[in-house]
Amino acid sequence: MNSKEIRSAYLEFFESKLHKIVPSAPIVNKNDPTLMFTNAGMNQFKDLFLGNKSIQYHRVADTQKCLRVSGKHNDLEDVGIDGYHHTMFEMLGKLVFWRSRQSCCRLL
Amino acid sequence: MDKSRIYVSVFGGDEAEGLEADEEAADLWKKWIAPDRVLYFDKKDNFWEMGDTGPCGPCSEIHVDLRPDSERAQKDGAVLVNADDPNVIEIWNLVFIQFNRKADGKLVELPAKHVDTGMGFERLCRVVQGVASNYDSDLFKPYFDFISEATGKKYTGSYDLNNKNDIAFRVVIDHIRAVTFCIADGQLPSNNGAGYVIRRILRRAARYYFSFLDYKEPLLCQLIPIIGESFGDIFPEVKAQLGLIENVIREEEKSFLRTLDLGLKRMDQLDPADKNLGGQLVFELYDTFGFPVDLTRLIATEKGWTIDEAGFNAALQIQKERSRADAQKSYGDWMIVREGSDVQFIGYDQLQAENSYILRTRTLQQKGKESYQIVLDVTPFYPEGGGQVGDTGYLEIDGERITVLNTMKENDLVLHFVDKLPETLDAPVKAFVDSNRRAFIEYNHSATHLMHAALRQVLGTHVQQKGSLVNESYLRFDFSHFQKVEPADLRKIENIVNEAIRRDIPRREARNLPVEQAKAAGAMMLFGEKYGEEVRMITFDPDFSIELCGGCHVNSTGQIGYFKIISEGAIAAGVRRIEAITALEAEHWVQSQLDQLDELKEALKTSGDPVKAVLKLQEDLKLHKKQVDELMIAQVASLQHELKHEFVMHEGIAVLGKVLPFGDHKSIKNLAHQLSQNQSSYAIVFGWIDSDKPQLVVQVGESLAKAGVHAGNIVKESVKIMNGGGGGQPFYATAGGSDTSKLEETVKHALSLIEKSIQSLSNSDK
Repeated sequence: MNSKEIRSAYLEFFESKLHKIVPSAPIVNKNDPTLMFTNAGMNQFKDLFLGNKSIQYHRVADTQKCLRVSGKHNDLEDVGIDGYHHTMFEMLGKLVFWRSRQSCCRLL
Repeated sequence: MDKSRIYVSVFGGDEAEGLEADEEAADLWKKWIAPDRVLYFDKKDNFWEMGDTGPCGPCSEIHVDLRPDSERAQKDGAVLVNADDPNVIEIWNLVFIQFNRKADGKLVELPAKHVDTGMGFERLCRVVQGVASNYDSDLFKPYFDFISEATGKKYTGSYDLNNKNDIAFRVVIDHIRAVTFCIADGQLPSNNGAGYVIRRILRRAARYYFSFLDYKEPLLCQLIPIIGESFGDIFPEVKAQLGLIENVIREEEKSFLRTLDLGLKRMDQLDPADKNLGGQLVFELYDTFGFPVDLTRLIATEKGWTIDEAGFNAALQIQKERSRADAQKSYGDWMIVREGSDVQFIGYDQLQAENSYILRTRTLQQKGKESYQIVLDVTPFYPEGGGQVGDTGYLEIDGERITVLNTMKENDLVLHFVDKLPETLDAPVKAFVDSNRRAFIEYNHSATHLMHAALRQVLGTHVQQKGSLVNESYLRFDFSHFQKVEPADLRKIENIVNEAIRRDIPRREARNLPVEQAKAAGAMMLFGEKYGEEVRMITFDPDFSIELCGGCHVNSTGQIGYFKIISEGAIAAGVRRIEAITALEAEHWVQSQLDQLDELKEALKTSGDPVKAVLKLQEDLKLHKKQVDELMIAQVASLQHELKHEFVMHEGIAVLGKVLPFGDHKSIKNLAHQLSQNQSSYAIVFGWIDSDKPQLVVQVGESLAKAGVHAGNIVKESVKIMNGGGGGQPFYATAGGSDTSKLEETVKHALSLIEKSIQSLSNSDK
């Protein structure tokens, strides 16, 4: 499988499991003073977790553009040295709101 | 995936945080996988947090052991989990979001539990494709091929720390993806904040190819088409802005490669004591030339020098602390006054709210000052966003008046920045937006839309918004365009906007419009903006301007009154900036221009065309200047004749000192030159007044100058008397002063200095 096929297989799989496929948020964060760049798929749902915003879909999947170059998650110095760290990467997300561990701890 | 290659980790608990081990997750896993493959780890590895504050929780990670069977047989993969083994890596993290980390470090339970899982796509590709590292998947291959072709270097896939060639390949490829996506999402490289982080990443990449791939031209910009192509279907924003991104990156690279070159030259000039480059010098190279310390070290090693790293770190620390102290903000935790979510913004329709309640308050510390933030359940205050500044105004609560200094958004909360917190927090609040100021903001915001449409009509549809500021006094709009906008085009743009204003086009507004429908209607969408599924669409004539916008606008364009562009210029490669004003500001601007014109006419004493009058004046001036020059030459000729006889002999040297009744620099220089013809032992001092300023010139003959009588020094010393400064060559020097009454004294002083020098020269001869 090439990378494009892997990405679409992932999204199609979760779509078939009743997940809403949402677009990536921008990589540069505009409205959160605690975070300069999006560093994980969950960032765009922060207000949902904190209860500041009501939930529209309970199950969501996406591929999120992330950048880890500042703050708590900074991989800049590892880049080039090893073969598995990047500054910019895509995070394939699957998020479930208001649900327990059971929905995710399983192998198929 | 083979189960015998999989391990899962769960949170082992943390006493200090008061958290127990996550047995629930462990038990669940054991249904699917052998119990000895479920491993417990501490907070460092298995408690995920996005930042210093925010949602967080214990996590459970899926790790995969990609070592060959022979190695797996020798050593149990379980001991290599979370141990930095390049072949035993985390692939999927499941985070059980159940806490919020507060600013004071405490964990608070969230209203509900959630599961957030994230899998690194590049790692997944590596695993699925069975290749040796992320970089060996098909995702990255085109970049390696291109760089090899361009630089003539080979990539060998080595992870030896001394193989800088291979490291450079990976750094360049990683970094260009980061930089490109940031620019595509609207963040240009700059000198601060997120823009500076991007500039640093770009420079880091440039330094790697410059030093280790021996490539001295911009390389990164050549890779953008590959990114555009490979992400075309999933992230189309790169392909759609290829030209702009390439230009911005090329210019950044060019300018850094130039400073890199200057820095290298600077290093060539250095000759450090004991062949050790001092910390302050290393810091200068870092700070002024953007040299990372490892680059300085590398070049120093080539020259056989060492560098003072401790000194450099100390200098860096001082700078860091300075900037940290400037930037440090500390947020207190929210104080929850009233439970509730989903803040309601009513400011599109109303500028006051009668019956709001405070949901929460927060105190902010910055540079020793406190400021306060309030969140209301219902607010008419527009929070800064989409380029439009935040509203100001006031709140009334229990008879107390609180000034709202600014309004901003934090995620989905609307924060009112207030001068103080109210005495009573739980009473109903009346909120009033400064409606006068808001009206001016609306004029400028709607005018921005009209101008955006006009720009695309006049310059072409490649014009894309790259930045925008709208406040009560003007509008500023940055957009992609590759050359200067000609004055004739600016005039066309103004005319189109003003025509749209006169047509008094009513605003059409669609709230909660499905985004697909907006796209179909032809609305302009911006890259790097987060659009929900439902959007707000602002239309001023469907054939003219349709934009997705969350800002505030006029009811109809006639309210804007008048639109005037006041400046146009470049802010970055391929990005132009226009500033414009509307309504009252534009009216005042036009009036002040006309006032100036009236003053000009008055000064010119004409009621007719001032341009003609000025041209005539210039013509007259030219003529008069010519006449003056001719007169001056005649005068100087007669003066020369008189002065020839006024030299006084001192010890065989002809000396002349005189305050002249008129003159200018050119004619005086000429006069001195004429008088000195056929003499070598002489000195001349002239003073005169030119345009109300006293002037002094000293010229000495060649033999005198050689003997050490220095015209420059004499002028320098004398001119102080008339409050002046200046000097010059040993033969000829001149300077101006400001006190005309001291001119004669100055000339006399210069003369006496010359005479004294001559005296002492002749004494030493005897």
